[in-house]
Amino acid sequence: MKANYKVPQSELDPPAKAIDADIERFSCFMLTCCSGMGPKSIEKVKRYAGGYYQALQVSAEVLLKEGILSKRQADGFNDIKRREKELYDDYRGFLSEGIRIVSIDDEDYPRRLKNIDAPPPVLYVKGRLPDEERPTASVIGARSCSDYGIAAAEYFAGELAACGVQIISGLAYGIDAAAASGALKKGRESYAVLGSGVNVCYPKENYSLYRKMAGDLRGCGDYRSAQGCISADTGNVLPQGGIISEFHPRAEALSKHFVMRNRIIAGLGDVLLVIEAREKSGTSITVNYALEQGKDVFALPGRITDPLGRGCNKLLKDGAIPLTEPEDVLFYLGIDKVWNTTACNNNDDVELYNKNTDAALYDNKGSANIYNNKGISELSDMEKAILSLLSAEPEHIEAVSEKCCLELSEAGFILSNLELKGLIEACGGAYWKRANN
Amino acid sequence: MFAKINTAGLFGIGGFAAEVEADVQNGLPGFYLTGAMSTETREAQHRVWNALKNSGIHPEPKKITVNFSPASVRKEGTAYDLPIAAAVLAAMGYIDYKALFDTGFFGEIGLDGSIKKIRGALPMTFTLKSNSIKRVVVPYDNAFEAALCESIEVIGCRDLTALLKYLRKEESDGIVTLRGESSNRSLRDVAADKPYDAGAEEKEREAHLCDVDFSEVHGQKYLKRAAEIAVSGCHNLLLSGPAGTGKTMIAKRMPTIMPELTREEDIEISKVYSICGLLPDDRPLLSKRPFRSPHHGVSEASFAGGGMNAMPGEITLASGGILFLDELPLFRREVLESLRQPLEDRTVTVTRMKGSCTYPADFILVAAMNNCACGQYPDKRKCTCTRGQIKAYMGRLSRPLLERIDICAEAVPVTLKELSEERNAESSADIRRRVIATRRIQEERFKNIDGVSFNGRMGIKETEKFCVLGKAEKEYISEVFKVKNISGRTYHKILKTARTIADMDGCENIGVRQLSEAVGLRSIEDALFRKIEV
Repeated sequence: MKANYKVPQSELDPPAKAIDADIERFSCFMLTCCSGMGPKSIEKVKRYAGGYYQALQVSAEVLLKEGILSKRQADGFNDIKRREKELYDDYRGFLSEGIRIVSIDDEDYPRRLKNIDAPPPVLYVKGRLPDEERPTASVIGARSCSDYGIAAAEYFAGELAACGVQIISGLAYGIDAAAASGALKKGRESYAVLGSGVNVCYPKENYSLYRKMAGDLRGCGDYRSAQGCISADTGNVLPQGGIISEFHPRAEALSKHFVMRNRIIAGLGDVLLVIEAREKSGTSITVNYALEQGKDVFALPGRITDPLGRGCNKLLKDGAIPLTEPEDVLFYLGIDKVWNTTACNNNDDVELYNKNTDAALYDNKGSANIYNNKGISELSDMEKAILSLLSAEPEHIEAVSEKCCLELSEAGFILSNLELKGLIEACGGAYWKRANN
Repeated sequence: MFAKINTAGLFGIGGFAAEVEADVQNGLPGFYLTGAMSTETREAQHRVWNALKNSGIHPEPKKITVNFSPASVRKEGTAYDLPIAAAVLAAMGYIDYKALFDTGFFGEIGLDGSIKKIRGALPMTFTLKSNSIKRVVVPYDNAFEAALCESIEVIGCRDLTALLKYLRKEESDGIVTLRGESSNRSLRDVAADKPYDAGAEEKEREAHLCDVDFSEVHGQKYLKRAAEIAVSGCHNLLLSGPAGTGKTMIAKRMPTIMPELTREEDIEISKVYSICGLLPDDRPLLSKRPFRSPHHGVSEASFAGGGMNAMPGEITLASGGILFLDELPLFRREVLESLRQPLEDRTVTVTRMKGSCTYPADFILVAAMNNCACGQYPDKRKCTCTRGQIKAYMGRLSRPLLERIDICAEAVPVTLKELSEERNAESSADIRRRVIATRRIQEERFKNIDGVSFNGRMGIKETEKFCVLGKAEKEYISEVFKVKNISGRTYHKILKTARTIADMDGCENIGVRQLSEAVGLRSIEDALFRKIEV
């Protein structure tokens, strides 16, 4: 063992085995820092040497001669060995920042990932890893999606999360963010697998989601939104899920990273839900990973005229399961009761699950209840009529007034009243849509 | 011998009276010009001398000195050619300058002796008139412009020979004499010696005014309504929406629903156009309300006014009418920022090396924009922009400028069906009648208040005085505040717009309905500045 870094005394106890595990983990970390080496070549080296630590003892020239490493990789290999001290400081630094580093040999490494192709040798985690015992669902879709897609993603993620399903997504714009926010709004866990390091929030617009999932908001304000998840002893906000990445915590968001992280999104989910996708898009990569891993894919049916629905419809044609209500997924996952979670103190699980009692659907009986319907029965006839014209897709005031044969000012007045009641939302200057539930 | 001729110089949109003195003495022959002047004015000596010779006048070779007074003000332009020629002729005894003590001259001279059209004839004539000049001698092509100045005798002449003969009372070929009058006849008609026909003039005027009409706009009721409100109360307007939905079309027709220009307004506006040489060839007055639509690449100097001579810019040319900024986010920031002060003061002061001029800038600002670079947002199925691109596009708008815009309206994408449908949309004349009625109410309201004549021009004091809300209205607006996250500044805008809508509806007090419409015409701000979040 190299002695050029100090292991704190406290970590020497319990002896031998603990040191080994930590050194193995650090060695693994070092190997992932080697430029040019991916999960597959790290695995090859490990198998050749019999362990990560042993692998670092082998000289690069030998590995090069054996044909295990390429010339470029061998250079990188020598380089990390030179920078061992520096990397160790980094490693300790990450741990003290509260980033969990989990290597593939660790007990808490997600079982779901062990069996995928090229599992990541190391995972960096802020917050928590998905619970092994509880079902998970990955939600993916287009970044520039429709308002309907956002409403649907929020709805499905929220309903599933309320029943104890852990939601996995990628923190991207659009569907990913909507799914995460759907689960978080129900006070449940959402996990994001990033294409950057866990310390890099990309895109930065989703920082509020990132913060909730990563937890530990020392002095960051906005405690209310964390919904009573404040730890009693420290006053810190507990993570509502977690941020997961296989890349160095400071890694930038690179396009090649996103393709790689998609295999983790697919791997961590027991099922894959595709909400909205164009025909040629990144979602197909994730879908392919899921299929390779033997997961089932659910797809939200789209309109045949809608380019955003084409990807999903193609999946359906190829045998994906139509996603029309949360029960589809719950049934598939074998959930017939509400799961108890310990992380967040939600007493209203049952209430959430037995939904739809209060919100009697007015105009779309029997279909998914993705809109806010509170107080709908007290509306006047004209208000009901205008409400029934609106959907998640924004509609221009002129179209509304035309369809109801109302003067513009009259229609505007009713729309404004509906907005005050929280049933609809203005988006842009003159467009209106139904407010999400 | 000495002679003195009256003329006028231009400064800003006003002018100053000037005199041209000529003295002819024995001595070494030469032509000397004194009194501060620019290069093109100094060149007059060559133009005048050659023109005199080519007009068959052969002056004796003597020492000629021409002086401008006041000598301290810098003279610019070529309008001094004619007074120089007149002064030289008088000094040489060809004409009697004492008979010209109440006559003013201006005009440019060509080498062949022809007298050419100049810019700024209208303000110059007014200056001369206010200096008790009774008669002006002007280029033939400027005669009708000058004749807009009432009770002044205008003599338009084509060339120096004709002028000399006329002044010697020999004959009057190539001369048109007009009495300043309030008629607005076209030069063509007078030249053809057509009798004055009031009916025909009215007809032609109508055709001239309404070369475009609101009835040509199909659909877009919401935008039309917004345009009517904006014109009725002089509110600035922002039109947003996908490309090809008729934003420009509507803006272009907004001058046609504004009340017709009064003669005073017309002359004030025409003065500016006269200075810039932009008056139409065949009619002396603009008559139409201006519609200026500068391209988004416009420079600050040509937009707000400036250049070497502190010339009027687009915002002054739009005064009394509509200043239309298409593709608002593409305008340079400094250009848009230069709008801020004129929007408050209704005038613009341009300061340059040669002095500082204050020009009118009393226009309704109409801006148009797409919601994203590709022009299709919020139709996400067609829009190819990323969220970041949309944000960046919107981010180019200056918030202070938006705060000076009362009404924001979003266009609806037009379907082919709507375009091809034969529908009788309202004509501009019908809308104009309503606008005039609404403006009359405002006239009555603001008759004792200085500097405010329209709802859109109310300050905070007037807003609080004239936009009093009842109990129900207050409750409503406080509800809206909760939901919409409205700023205090926006609140005042909403009140002003609601006041205009109430005036249009003939209501004395602002009701909930008018408030709700005004709120609707403002909600784009939320869209522009809300944080994009899920």
